[in-house]
Amino acid sequence: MKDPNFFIPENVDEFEELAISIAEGDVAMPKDASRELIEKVEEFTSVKNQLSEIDLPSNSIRDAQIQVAVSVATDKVVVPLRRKTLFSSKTSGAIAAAVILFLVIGGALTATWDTSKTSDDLVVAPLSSSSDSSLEEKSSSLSSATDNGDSFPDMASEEPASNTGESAFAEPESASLTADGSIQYAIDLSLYQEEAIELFLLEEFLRSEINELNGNQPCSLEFIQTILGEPIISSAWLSNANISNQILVFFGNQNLVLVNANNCENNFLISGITP
Amino acid sequence: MASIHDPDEELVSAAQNGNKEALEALLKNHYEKIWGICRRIMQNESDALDATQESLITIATRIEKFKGNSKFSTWVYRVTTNTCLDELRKKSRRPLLNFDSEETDQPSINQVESSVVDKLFIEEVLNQLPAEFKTVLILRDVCDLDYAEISETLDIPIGTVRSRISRGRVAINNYLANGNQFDNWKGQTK
Repeated sequence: MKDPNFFIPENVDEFEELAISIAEGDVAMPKDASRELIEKVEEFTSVKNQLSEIDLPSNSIRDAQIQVAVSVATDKVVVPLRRKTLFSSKTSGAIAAAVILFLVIGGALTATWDTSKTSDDLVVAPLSSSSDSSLEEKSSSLSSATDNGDSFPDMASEEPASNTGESAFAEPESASLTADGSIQYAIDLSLYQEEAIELFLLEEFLRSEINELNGNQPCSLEFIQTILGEPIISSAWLSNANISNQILVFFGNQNLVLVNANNCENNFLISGITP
Repeated sequence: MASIHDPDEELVSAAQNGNKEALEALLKNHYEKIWGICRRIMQNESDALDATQESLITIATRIEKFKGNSKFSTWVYRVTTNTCLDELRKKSRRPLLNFDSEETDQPSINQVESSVVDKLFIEEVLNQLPAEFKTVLILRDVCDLDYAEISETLDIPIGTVRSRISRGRVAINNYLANGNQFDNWKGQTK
Protein backbone atom coordinates (compact mmCIF):
# COMPACT_ATOMS: atom_id res chain seq x y z
CA MET A 1 0.00 0.00 0.00
CA LYS A 2 1.47 3.30 -1.03
CA ASP A 3 1.69 5.82 1.77
CA PRO A 4 0.81 9.35 0.65
CA ASN A 5 3.34 10.63 3.16
CA PHE A 6 6.14 8.99 1.27
CA PHE A 7 7.79 11.22 -1.29
CA ILE A 8 11.03 11.38 -3.21
CA PRO A 9 12.80 14.71 -2.82
CA GLU A 10 13.71 16.54 -6.00
CA ASN A 11 17.07 17.53 -4.56
CA VAL A 12 19.36 16.43 -1.81
CA ASP A 13 21.10 19.14 0.19
CA GLU A 14 24.85 19.21 0.73
CA PHE A 15 24.67 18.05 4.31
CA GLU A 16 22.70 14.96 3.40
CA GLU A 17 24.88 14.35 0.39
CA LEU A 18 27.94 14.37 2.64
CA ALA A 19 26.30 12.02 5.13
CA ILE A 20 25.37 9.63 2.33
CA SER A 21 28.88 9.73 0.90
CA ILE A 22 30.28 8.86 4.30
CA ALA A 23 27.78 6.06 4.76
CA GLU A 24 28.64 4.75 1.31
CA GLY A 25 32.31 4.73 2.22
CA ASP A 26 33.18 7.21 -0.50
CA VAL A 27 34.31 9.86 1.97
CA ALA A 28 35.92 9.50 5.39
CA MET A 29 34.19 10.90 8.42
CA PRO A 30 35.77 14.28 9.24
CA LYS A 31 37.65 14.34 12.53
CA ASP A 32 35.71 17.37 13.62
CA ALA A 33 32.35 15.99 12.53
CA SER A 34 29.36 17.48 14.28
CA ARG A 35 27.08 15.32 16.33
CA GLU A 36 24.33 16.05 13.84
CA LEU A 37 26.43 14.68 11.00
CA ILE A 38 27.39 11.60 12.96
CA GLU A 39 23.75 10.86 13.71
CA LYS A 40 22.76 11.40 10.10
CA VAL A 41 25.44 9.00 8.93
CA GLU A 42 24.23 6.48 11.50
CA GLU A 43 20.72 6.72 10.12
CA PHE A 44 21.83 6.13 6.56
CA THR A 45 24.08 3.32 7.65
CA SER A 46 21.28 1.63 9.60
CA VAL A 47 19.01 1.59 6.57
CA LYS A 48 21.82 0.41 4.35
CA ASN A 49 22.63 -2.43 6.72
CA GLN A 50 19.01 -3.47 6.96
CA LEU A 51 18.66 -3.50 3.20
CA SER A 52 21.63 -5.78 2.82
CA GLU A 53 20.52 -8.28 5.46
CA ILE A 54 18.42 -10.88 3.74
CA ASP A 55 17.60 -14.35 4.98
CA LEU A 56 18.58 -16.94 2.45
CA PRO A 57 16.36 -19.84 1.46
CA SER A 58 17.47 -23.20 2.80
CA ASN A 59 20.18 -25.05 0.93
CA SER A 60 17.66 -27.60 -0.27
CA ILE A 61 15.51 -24.93 -1.87
CA ARG A 62 18.58 -23.32 -3.40
CA ASP A 63 19.82 -26.63 -4.78
CA ALA A 64 16.41 -27.56 -6.12
CA GLN A 65 16.05 -24.27 -7.92
CA ILE A 66 19.50 -24.59 -9.43
CA GLN A 67 18.80 -28.16 -10.54
CA VAL A 68 15.61 -27.03 -12.23
CA ALA A 69 17.44 -24.32 -14.12
CA VAL A 70 20.25 -26.64 -15.16
CA SER A 71 17.77 -29.27 -16.32
CA VAL A 72 15.83 -26.76 -18.36
CA ALA A 73 19.01 -25.53 -20.01
CA THR A 74 20.77 -28.79 -20.65
CA ASP A 75 18.04 -31.41 -20.91
CA LYS A 76 15.46 -29.12 -22.48
CA VAL A 77 13.09 -30.10 -19.74
CA VAL A 78 10.42 -27.51 -19.22
CA VAL A 79 9.71 -27.28 -15.55
CA PRO A 80 6.87 -25.03 -14.53
CA LEU A 81 7.30 -22.25 -12.09
CA ARG A 82 5.40 -22.40 -8.89
CA ARG A 83 2.48 -20.05 -9.17
CA LYS A 84 0.08 -19.20 -6.49
CA THR A 85 -3.41 -20.62 -6.49
CA LEU A 86 -5.87 -18.09 -7.66
CA PHE A 87 -8.61 -18.97 -5.31
CA SER A 88 -6.95 -18.03 -2.11
CA SER A 89 -10.07 -16.34 -0.91
CA LYS A 90 -13.77 -16.53 -1.49
CA THR A 91 -13.67 -13.14 -3.09
CA SER A 92 -11.06 -14.04 -5.65
CA GLY A 93 -12.79 -17.34 -6.32
CA ALA A 94 -16.05 -15.62 -6.94
CA ILE A 95 -14.50 -13.10 -9.26
CA ALA A 96 -12.67 -15.82 -11.18
CA ALA A 97 -15.89 -17.79 -11.45
CA ALA A 98 -17.55 -14.72 -12.89
CA VAL A 99 -14.75 -14.36 -15.39
CA ILE A 100 -15.11 -17.99 -16.44
CA LEU A 101 -18.86 -17.55 -16.78
CA PHE A 102 -18.31 -14.46 -18.86
CA LEU A 103 -15.91 -16.29 -21.12
CA VAL A 104 -18.24 -19.23 -21.54
CA ILE A 105 -21.24 -17.03 -22.29
CA GLY A 106 -19.17 -14.90 -24.63
CA GLY A 107 -17.94 -17.96 -26.47
CA ALA A 108 -21.42 -19.37 -26.75
CA LEU A 109 -22.80 -16.12 -28.08
CA THR A 110 -20.21 -15.80 -30.77
CA ALA A 111 -20.64 -19.44 -31.65
CA THR A 112 -24.33 -18.81 -32.23
CA TRP A 113 -24.16 -15.46 -33.92
CA ASP A 114 -21.45 -14.48 -36.33
CA THR A 115 -20.72 -11.03 -35.04
CA SER A 116 -17.84 -8.66 -35.31
CA LYS A 117 -17.70 -7.51 -31.73
CA THR A 118 -14.30 -6.38 -30.53
CA SER A 119 -12.53 -6.83 -27.27
CA ASP A 120 -9.04 -5.89 -26.19
CA ASP A 121 -8.95 -8.44 -23.46
CA LEU A 122 -9.60 -11.77 -24.98
CA VAL A 123 -8.83 -13.18 -28.35
CA VAL A 124 -9.73 -16.75 -29.05
CA ALA A 125 -8.50 -18.06 -32.32
CA PRO A 126 -7.87 -21.51 -33.63
CA LEU A 127 -4.45 -21.67 -35.12
CA SER A 128 -3.21 -23.93 -37.78
CA SER A 129 0.21 -23.50 -39.28
CA SER A 130 -1.22 -23.73 -42.77
CA SER A 131 -4.33 -21.74 -42.21
CA ASP A 132 -4.68 -18.37 -43.94
CA SER A 133 -7.75 -17.60 -41.96
CA SER A 134 -6.10 -17.77 -38.58
CA LEU A 135 -4.71 -14.25 -38.73
CA GLU A 136 -8.08 -12.84 -39.56
CA GLU A 137 -9.55 -14.85 -36.77
CA LYS A 138 -7.06 -13.44 -34.32
CA SER A 139 -8.37 -9.98 -34.92
CA SER A 140 -11.89 -11.02 -34.17
CA SER A 141 -12.55 -11.05 -30.49
CA LEU A 142 -14.10 -14.02 -28.83
CA SER A 143 -14.27 -15.77 -32.16
CA SER A 144 -14.54 -19.45 -31.59
CA ALA A 145 -13.48 -22.31 -33.77
CA THR A 146 -17.05 -22.67 -34.83
CA ASP A 147 -16.43 -19.75 -37.15
CA ASN A 148 -13.48 -21.54 -38.58
CA GLY A 149 -14.38 -24.85 -39.92
CA ASP A 150 -11.92 -24.14 -42.68
CA SER A 151 -9.05 -23.65 -40.32
CA PHE A 152 -7.97 -27.27 -40.57
CA PRO A 153 -7.11 -27.54 -44.25
CA ASP A 154 -5.43 -30.87 -43.62
CA MET A 155 -8.91 -32.28 -43.37
CA ALA A 156 -9.83 -31.27 -46.90
CA SER A 157 -10.55 -34.82 -47.92
CA GLU A 158 -13.10 -35.06 -45.20
CA GLU A 159 -16.23 -33.20 -44.43
CA PRO A 160 -15.38 -30.36 -42.07
CA ALA A 161 -17.00 -30.75 -38.70
CA SER A 162 -18.81 -27.54 -39.28
CA ASN A 163 -18.34 -24.12 -40.72
CA THR A 164 -21.71 -22.72 -39.98
CA GLY A 165 -21.61 -22.08 -36.29
CA GLU A 166 -22.92 -25.50 -35.39
CA SER A 167 -19.79 -27.18 -34.25
CA ALA A 168 -20.77 -26.97 -30.63
CA PHE A 169 -23.18 -29.75 -31.51
CA ALA A 170 -20.97 -31.50 -33.99
CA GLU A 171 -18.89 -34.58 -33.63
CA PRO A 172 -15.74 -33.37 -31.88
CA GLU A 173 -13.42 -35.59 -33.82
CA SER A 174 -12.84 -36.16 -37.48
CA ALA A 175 -10.23 -38.10 -39.41
CA SER A 176 -8.11 -37.26 -42.38
CA LEU A 177 -5.58 -39.04 -44.52
CA THR A 178 -2.11 -37.57 -44.53
CA ALA A 179 0.36 -37.64 -47.40
CA ASP A 180 1.95 -40.82 -46.09
CA GLY A 181 -1.37 -42.52 -45.91
CA SER A 182 -1.71 -42.58 -42.16
CA ILE A 183 -4.88 -41.50 -40.54
CA GLN A 184 -4.82 -38.48 -38.33
CA TYR A 185 -7.70 -37.54 -36.20
CA ALA A 186 -8.52 -33.89 -35.86
CA ILE A 187 -10.42 -32.80 -32.82
CA ASP A 188 -12.49 -29.69 -32.66
CA LEU A 189 -10.45 -28.29 -29.84
CA SER A 190 -12.65 -25.26 -29.48
CA LEU A 191 -15.12 -27.49 -27.68
CA TYR A 192 -12.65 -27.77 -24.84
CA GLN A 193 -11.70 -24.13 -24.47
CA GLU A 194 -13.91 -23.71 -21.44
CA GLU A 195 -12.14 -26.52 -19.59
CA ALA A 196 -8.75 -25.20 -20.63
CA ILE A 197 -9.50 -21.65 -19.52
CA GLU A 198 -10.79 -22.98 -16.24
CA LEU A 199 -7.51 -24.82 -15.74
CA PHE A 200 -5.59 -21.71 -16.69
CA LEU A 201 -7.45 -19.72 -14.08
CA LEU A 202 -7.38 -22.39 -11.43
CA GLU A 203 -3.71 -23.08 -11.93
CA GLU A 204 -4.13 -26.33 -10.07
CA PHE A 205 -3.16 -28.73 -12.75
CA LEU A 206 -0.56 -31.39 -13.01
CA ARG A 207 2.53 -30.12 -14.66
CA SER A 208 4.62 -33.17 -15.35
CA GLU A 209 3.04 -33.92 -18.69
CA ILE A 210 5.13 -31.24 -20.28
CA ASN A 211 7.58 -33.88 -21.39
CA GLU A 212 4.99 -36.00 -23.11
CA LEU A 213 5.79 -34.47 -26.43
CA ASN A 214 9.56 -34.58 -26.16
CA GLY A 215 10.99 -36.48 -29.06
CA ASN A 216 7.91 -35.94 -31.13
CA GLN A 217 9.37 -33.56 -33.64
CA PRO A 218 6.21 -32.25 -35.28
CA CYS A 219 5.10 -31.45 -31.78
CA SER A 220 8.31 -30.23 -30.27
CA LEU A 221 8.23 -27.82 -27.41
CA GLU A 222 9.72 -25.19 -29.72
CA PHE A 223 6.80 -25.72 -32.05
CA ILE A 224 4.33 -25.34 -29.20
CA GLN A 225 6.12 -22.29 -27.90
CA THR A 226 5.99 -20.69 -31.32
CA ILE A 227 2.26 -21.15 -31.38
CA LEU A 228 1.90 -20.01 -27.81
CA GLY A 229 3.87 -16.87 -28.52
CA GLU A 230 5.49 -16.85 -25.09
CA PRO A 231 7.48 -19.22 -22.89
CA ILE A 232 5.70 -22.36 -21.78
CA ILE A 233 5.12 -22.30 -18.05
CA SER A 234 3.27 -25.55 -17.62
CA SER A 235 0.99 -28.09 -19.22
CA ALA A 236 -1.78 -30.49 -18.39
CA TRP A 237 -3.90 -33.16 -19.95
CA LEU A 238 -7.53 -32.25 -20.22
CA SER A 239 -9.36 -34.61 -17.96
CA ASN A 240 -12.60 -34.90 -19.88
CA ALA A 241 -13.29 -38.63 -20.07
CA ASN A 242 -14.01 -38.59 -23.79
CA ILE A 243 -10.64 -37.18 -24.69
CA SER A 244 -8.55 -38.55 -21.89
CA ASN A 245 -4.86 -38.43 -22.80
CA GLN A 246 -5.64 -36.93 -26.16
CA ILE A 247 -5.56 -33.20 -25.56
CA LEU A 248 -2.72 -31.39 -23.94
CA VAL A 249 -2.98 -27.81 -22.93
CA PHE A 250 0.13 -25.65 -22.65
CA PHE A 251 0.09 -22.55 -20.54
CA GLY A 252 2.03 -19.35 -20.85
CA ASN A 253 1.41 -16.30 -18.76
CA GLN A 254 -1.44 -14.95 -20.82
CA ASN A 255 -2.01 -17.50 -23.53
CA LEU A 256 -2.76 -21.15 -23.72
CA VAL A 257 -2.78 -23.59 -26.58
CA LEU A 258 -4.73 -26.82 -26.85
CA VAL A 259 -2.92 -29.52 -28.77
CA ASN A 260 -4.09 -32.83 -30.11
CA ALA A 261 -1.32 -35.10 -28.83
CA ASN A 262 -1.81 -37.40 -31.83
CA ASN A 263 -1.75 -34.65 -34.38
CA CYS A 264 0.03 -31.54 -33.35
CA GLU A 265 -1.02 -29.57 -36.40
CA ASN A 266 -4.39 -29.78 -34.78
CA ASN A 267 -4.09 -27.03 -32.21
CA PHE A 268 -6.07 -24.16 -30.85
CA LEU A 269 -4.71 -20.95 -29.38
CA ILE A 270 -6.50 -18.86 -26.79
CA SER A 271 -4.67 -15.64 -26.13
CA GLY A 272 -4.94 -12.64 -23.89
CA ILE A 273 -6.49 -14.29 -20.88
CA THR A 274 -5.96 -11.55 -18.37
CA PRO A 275 -8.81 -11.17 -15.93
CA MET B 1 38.08 -2.77 -25.86
CA ALA B 2 40.34 -4.12 -23.16
CA SER B 3 39.35 -7.53 -21.97
CA ILE B 4 37.65 -7.62 -18.60
CA HIS B 5 39.13 -9.82 -15.94
CA ASP B 6 36.31 -12.01 -14.85
CA PRO B 7 36.75 -14.57 -12.09
CA ASP B 8 33.92 -16.56 -13.66
CA GLU B 9 35.55 -16.73 -17.06
CA GLU B 10 36.58 -20.37 -17.00
CA LEU B 11 33.31 -21.60 -15.59
CA VAL B 12 31.36 -19.54 -18.09
CA SER B 13 33.37 -20.94 -20.95
CA ALA B 14 32.82 -24.48 -19.73
CA ALA B 15 29.11 -23.88 -19.17
CA GLN B 16 28.77 -22.45 -22.65
CA ASN B 17 30.29 -25.67 -23.95
CA GLY B 18 27.62 -27.69 -22.24
CA ASN B 19 29.36 -28.55 -18.98
CA LYS B 20 26.54 -29.08 -16.48
CA GLU B 21 28.77 -28.95 -13.42
CA ALA B 22 30.19 -25.63 -14.49
CA LEU B 23 26.74 -24.20 -15.03
CA GLU B 24 25.64 -25.50 -11.67
CA ALA B 25 28.67 -23.99 -9.97
CA LEU B 26 28.06 -20.63 -11.60
CA LEU B 27 24.45 -20.54 -10.51
CA LYS B 28 25.46 -21.57 -7.02
CA ASN B 29 28.13 -18.89 -6.82
CA HIS B 30 25.67 -16.18 -7.75
CA TYR B 31 22.55 -17.57 -6.10
CA GLU B 32 22.84 -15.43 -3.00
CA LYS B 33 22.89 -12.18 -4.96
CA ILE B 34 20.16 -13.34 -7.33
CA TRP B 35 17.99 -14.19 -4.37
CA GLY B 36 18.85 -10.90 -2.69
CA ILE B 37 17.79 -8.87 -5.70
CA CYS B 38 14.58 -10.84 -6.11
CA ARG B 39 13.76 -10.76 -2.42
CA ARG B 40 14.13 -7.01 -2.26
CA ILE B 41 12.42 -6.16 -5.54
CA MET B 42 9.49 -8.54 -5.14
CA GLN B 43 7.09 -7.85 -2.35
CA ASN B 44 7.02 -11.20 -0.62
CA GLU B 45 9.05 -14.37 -0.32
CA SER B 46 6.78 -16.42 -2.51
CA ASP B 47 7.10 -14.04 -5.44
CA ALA B 48 10.81 -13.76 -4.77
CA LEU B 49 11.19 -17.53 -5.08
CA ASP B 50 9.32 -17.50 -8.36
CA ALA B 51 11.40 -14.63 -9.68
CA THR B 52 14.59 -16.33 -8.54
CA GLN B 53 13.64 -19.50 -10.37
CA GLU B 54 12.74 -17.55 -13.47
CA SER B 55 16.05 -15.70 -13.32
CA LEU B 56 18.07 -18.88 -12.88
CA ILE B 57 16.35 -20.47 -15.85
CA THR B 58 16.92 -17.40 -17.98
CA ILE B 59 20.59 -17.27 -17.03
CA ALA B 60 21.03 -20.99 -17.66
CA THR B 61 19.27 -20.99 -21.00
CA ARG B 62 20.87 -17.81 -22.30
CA ILE B 63 24.40 -18.26 -21.08
CA GLU B 64 25.45 -19.18 -24.59
CA LYS B 65 24.55 -15.66 -25.63
CA PHE B 66 26.78 -14.05 -23.03
CA LYS B 67 29.60 -12.50 -25.05
CA GLY B 68 31.89 -11.44 -22.25
CA ASN B 69 31.51 -7.74 -22.93
CA SER B 70 30.91 -7.22 -19.23
CA LYS B 71 31.65 -9.23 -16.13
CA PHE B 72 29.48 -12.26 -15.90
CA SER B 73 28.15 -11.06 -12.56
CA THR B 74 27.03 -7.79 -14.14
CA TRP B 75 25.15 -9.73 -16.78
CA VAL B 76 23.61 -11.94 -14.11
CA TYR B 77 22.41 -8.92 -12.13
CA ARG B 78 20.99 -7.35 -15.26
CA VAL B 79 19.08 -10.49 -16.20
CA THR B 80 17.82 -10.87 -12.65
CA THR B 81 16.76 -7.25 -12.29
CA ASN B 82 14.94 -7.29 -15.60
CA THR B 83 13.26 -10.57 -14.73
CA CYS B 84 12.03 -9.21 -11.41
CA LEU B 85 10.78 -5.98 -12.95
CA ASP B 86 8.98 -8.00 -15.63
CA GLU B 87 7.39 -10.10 -12.92
CA LEU B 88 6.27 -6.98 -11.10
CA ARG B 89 4.76 -5.63 -14.30
CA LYS B 90 2.95 -8.90 -14.93
CA LYS B 91 1.61 -8.87 -11.43
CA SER B 92 0.37 -5.34 -11.84
CA ARG B 93 -1.53 -6.44 -14.94
CA ARG B 94 -3.06 -9.35 -13.03
CA PRO B 95 -4.68 -7.71 -10.04
CA LEU B 96 -6.65 -10.82 -9.14
CA LEU B 97 -3.48 -12.70 -8.43
CA ASN B 98 -2.58 -10.21 -5.74
CA PHE B 99 -5.53 -11.12 -3.58
CA ASP B 100 -4.42 -12.26 -0.18
CA SER B 101 -0.98 -12.88 -1.54
CA GLU B 102 0.54 -13.01 1.89
CA GLU B 103 -2.02 -15.56 3.04
CA THR B 104 -0.92 -18.00 0.40
CA ASP B 105 2.75 -17.65 1.15
CA GLN B 106 4.74 -20.58 2.31
CA PRO B 107 5.90 -20.30 5.87
CA SER B 108 8.64 -17.74 5.98
CA ILE B 109 12.12 -19.03 5.30
CA ASN B 110 14.25 -18.68 8.38
CA GLN B 111 11.41 -16.66 9.71
CA VAL B 112 12.59 -17.07 13.24
CA GLU B 113 15.75 -15.25 12.36
CA SER B 114 13.97 -12.45 10.56
CA SER B 115 13.81 -9.46 12.75
CA VAL B 116 10.56 -7.66 13.40
CA VAL B 117 12.29 -4.52 12.26
CA ASP B 118 13.14 -6.07 8.93
CA LYS B 119 9.60 -7.25 8.34
CA LEU B 120 7.79 -4.19 9.49
CA PHE B 121 10.03 -1.44 8.33
CA ILE B 122 12.43 -2.18 5.60
CA GLU B 123 10.06 -4.05 3.30
CA GLU B 124 7.28 -1.60 3.86
CA VAL B 125 9.53 1.35 3.27
CA LEU B 126 11.27 -0.20 0.30
CA ASN B 127 7.96 -0.93 -1.33
CA GLN B 128 7.11 2.72 -1.16
CA LEU B 129 9.94 3.45 -3.55
CA PRO B 130 9.31 3.50 -7.29
CA ALA B 131 11.05 0.59 -9.04
CA GLU B 132 13.79 2.71 -10.57
CA PHE B 133 14.88 3.96 -7.15
CA LYS B 134 14.44 0.63 -5.45
CA THR B 135 16.57 -1.16 -8.04
CA VAL B 136 19.64 1.05 -7.69
CA LEU B 137 19.52 0.81 -3.90
CA ILE B 138 19.24 -2.97 -4.07
CA LEU B 139 22.14 -3.31 -6.47
CA ARG B 140 24.18 -1.02 -4.24
CA ASP B 141 23.32 -2.51 -0.86
CA VAL B 142 22.51 -6.12 -1.64
CA CYS B 143 24.95 -6.76 -4.46
CA ASP B 144 27.54 -4.29 -3.28
CA LEU B 145 28.01 -2.88 -6.76
CA ASP B 146 29.72 0.45 -7.26
CA TYR B 147 28.10 3.25 -9.22
CA ALA B 148 29.82 2.29 -12.45
CA GLU B 149 28.68 -1.31 -12.19
CA ILE B 150 25.11 -0.27 -11.43
CA SER B 151 25.27 2.08 -14.39
CA GLU B 152 26.41 -0.76 -16.62
CA THR B 153 23.89 -3.20 -15.21
CA LEU B 154 20.92 -0.92 -15.67
CA ASP B 155 22.29 0.89 -18.70
CA ILE B 156 21.76 4.31 -17.19
CA PRO B 157 24.26 7.16 -16.66
CA ILE B 158 26.37 7.15 -13.49
CA GLY B 159 24.99 10.56 -12.57
CA THR B 160 21.50 9.11 -12.61
CA VAL B 161 22.62 6.21 -10.42
CA ARG B 162 24.17 8.58 -7.89
CA SER B 163 21.15 10.86 -7.89
CA ARG B 164 18.68 8.00 -7.45
CA ILE B 165 20.68 6.51 -4.61
CA SER B 166 20.88 9.81 -2.77
CA ARG B 167 17.25 10.72 -3.29
CA GLY B 168 16.12 7.22 -2.43
CA ARG B 169 18.09 7.18 0.79
CA VAL B 170 16.84 10.59 1.81
CA ALA B 171 13.27 9.59 1.00
CA ILE B 172 13.55 6.52 3.22
CA ASN B 173 15.18 8.46 6.02
CA ASN B 174 12.63 11.26 5.91
CA TYR B 175 9.81 8.75 5.94
CA LEU B 176 11.20 6.91 8.94
CA ALA B 177 12.08 10.10 10.74
CA ASN B 178 8.62 11.56 10.28
CA GLY B 179 7.11 8.42 11.68
CA ASN B 180 9.39 8.68 14.72
CA GLN B 181 10.55 5.16 14.04
CA PHE B 182 14.26 5.73 14.00
CA ASP B 183 14.72 5.40 17.72
CA ASN B 184 13.13 2.01 17.60
CA TRP B 185 15.03 1.11 14.47
CA LYS B 186 18.44 2.12 15.72
CA GLY B 187 17.78 0.51 19.04
CA GLN B 188 17.32 -2.83 17.35
CA THR B 189 20.05 -2.62 14.82
CA LYS B 190 22.89 -1.38 17.01
